Amino acid sequence: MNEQNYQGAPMNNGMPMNNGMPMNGGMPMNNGMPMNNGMPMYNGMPPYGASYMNRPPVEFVVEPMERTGEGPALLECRNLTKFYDAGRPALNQLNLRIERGHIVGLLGPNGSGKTTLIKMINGLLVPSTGEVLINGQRPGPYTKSVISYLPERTYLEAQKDVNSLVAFFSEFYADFHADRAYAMLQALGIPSGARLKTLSKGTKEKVQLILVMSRDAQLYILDEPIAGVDPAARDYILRTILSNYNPEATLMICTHLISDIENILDDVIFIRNGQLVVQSTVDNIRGKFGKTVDAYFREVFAC
Amino acid sequence: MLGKLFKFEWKDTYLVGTISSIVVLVLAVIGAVIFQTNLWEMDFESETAAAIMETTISFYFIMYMLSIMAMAIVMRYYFFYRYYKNLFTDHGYLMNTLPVTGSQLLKAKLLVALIWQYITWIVVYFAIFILVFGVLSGVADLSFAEIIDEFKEIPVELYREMGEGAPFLFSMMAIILLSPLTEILIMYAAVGIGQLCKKHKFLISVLILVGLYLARAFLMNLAMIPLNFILFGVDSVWGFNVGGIIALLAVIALIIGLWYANRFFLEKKLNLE
Repeated sequence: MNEQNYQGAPMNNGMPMNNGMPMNGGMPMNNGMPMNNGMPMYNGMPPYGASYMNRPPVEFVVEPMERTGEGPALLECRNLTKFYDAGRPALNQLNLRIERGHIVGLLGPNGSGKTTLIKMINGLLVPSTGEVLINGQRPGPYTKSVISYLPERTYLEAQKDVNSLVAFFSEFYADFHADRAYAMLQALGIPSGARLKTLSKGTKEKVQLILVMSRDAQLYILDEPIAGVDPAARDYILRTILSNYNPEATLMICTHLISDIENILDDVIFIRNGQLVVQSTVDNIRGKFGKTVDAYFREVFAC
Repeated sequence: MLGKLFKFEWKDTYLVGTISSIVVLVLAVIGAVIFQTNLWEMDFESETAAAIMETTISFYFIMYMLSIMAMAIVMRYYFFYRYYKNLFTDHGYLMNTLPVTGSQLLKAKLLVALIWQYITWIVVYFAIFILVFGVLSGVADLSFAEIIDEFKEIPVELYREMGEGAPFLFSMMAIILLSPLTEILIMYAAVGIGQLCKKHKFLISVLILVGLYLARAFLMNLAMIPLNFILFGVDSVWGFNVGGIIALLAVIALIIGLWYANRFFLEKKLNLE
């Protein structure tokens, strides 16, 4: 995927194509039904909500990604469950596998478990049961060295200036390119000597994105990367993401602004109530249902 | 990675400690100068001028005492808040995704906080020494060499009095030297427990800290009851020595327990919002 692909038409250059047919890379078949090992099957109906009874059934599709190598998957979740308290789990027996070289949209309504999943991948939360594996390893110093994570909040210290943040990232991440960061800062007109607290919210988010995208990581996880910026800046940010990420890597984008990112996605994952309900290529959704991902999302998660 | 963490932790915290130290030392030097010049004994022709001088000197001493207390309090609870803020709020998203272990994060923060606690001790004692020096040289008219000789006598005198109780003295000194480490680890444990809650994490951490202090005081008093009966009843010096060593071992055990508890909270129970 490169910057030129983001020009309107959906493309999938260099990514595994499935020609609209379900793929199954060594995983159990589910015949278009949501799959969740050990959990109840839903027969084409969403797992929760009586209001769906009056609607035409929505077909779900779960097609695990094709294996792209001999080694372990880039990201694998096995029966991943997280309870915050005694109530309903935030994630419920989630099984997921993501391979290298994909741009994946992690989508779902509020409270569906997306952020919980992202936090567990990054080692910020510990699973109640099950496990997360990155290159076959549980979250730890190694996995953190290969994941570049952009949280959905301002996580940098406000009193620090941009130069010291670049220095900080340079010290801790061997794959960080300070020259790339400064080039992007210059392109966006962000003064490198400015303290973060003097910058607007949107500019702070750009600084964070620049720091995250200046790494040669294996897995980029961007949680709402364009939510806080104006529509004009969104295009620039998406181009920045595409032109700076390593094509051998996988990019996971979590956002509610599906229509803005749809054209850069290769695959989508829908999560609802902590369970995987859809995993498919974008081409498959378009080919099979004749809908955009945005339209399909609205149908799946209709209130 | 530990060295890098230490470097950035030091850079982020040195300003608070440096400014506090300078304020305390400057106030101590001003006090020493006041005593050297015997300002309060000067004869003022005007009663108003005398009253102003008296008020100014009183105000200075209040400031001096407050600055010492403030430094000791600020330098302790600044690191309590910083530990919470840096690891368990939004900043934690950066710190906890660095390619380091929870143990390395804990070590770096602990080491920097500990160094600052000892620097605070040195600064506070030095500030007191400067003032005492001012009093002794200004009021008692002693030379610097005589004052130093007076101070040198303190440990000699202490050993003469407590010769047989050396193990007790050693244990007490070790406990005192370890006390900043114990205090920091207790504060960090309070934060570690407080962050498990869904809301008001910092407030709850403060309450837990108070609870831990009370629990420690209660357990210490409880432990003293049998020790009083068993040890001090037999032979007072022997009892003091054994009691001191037991207390030291208990403090070491507490430090080890708190270290593993804090690692557990960071590595297994991280609960960022």
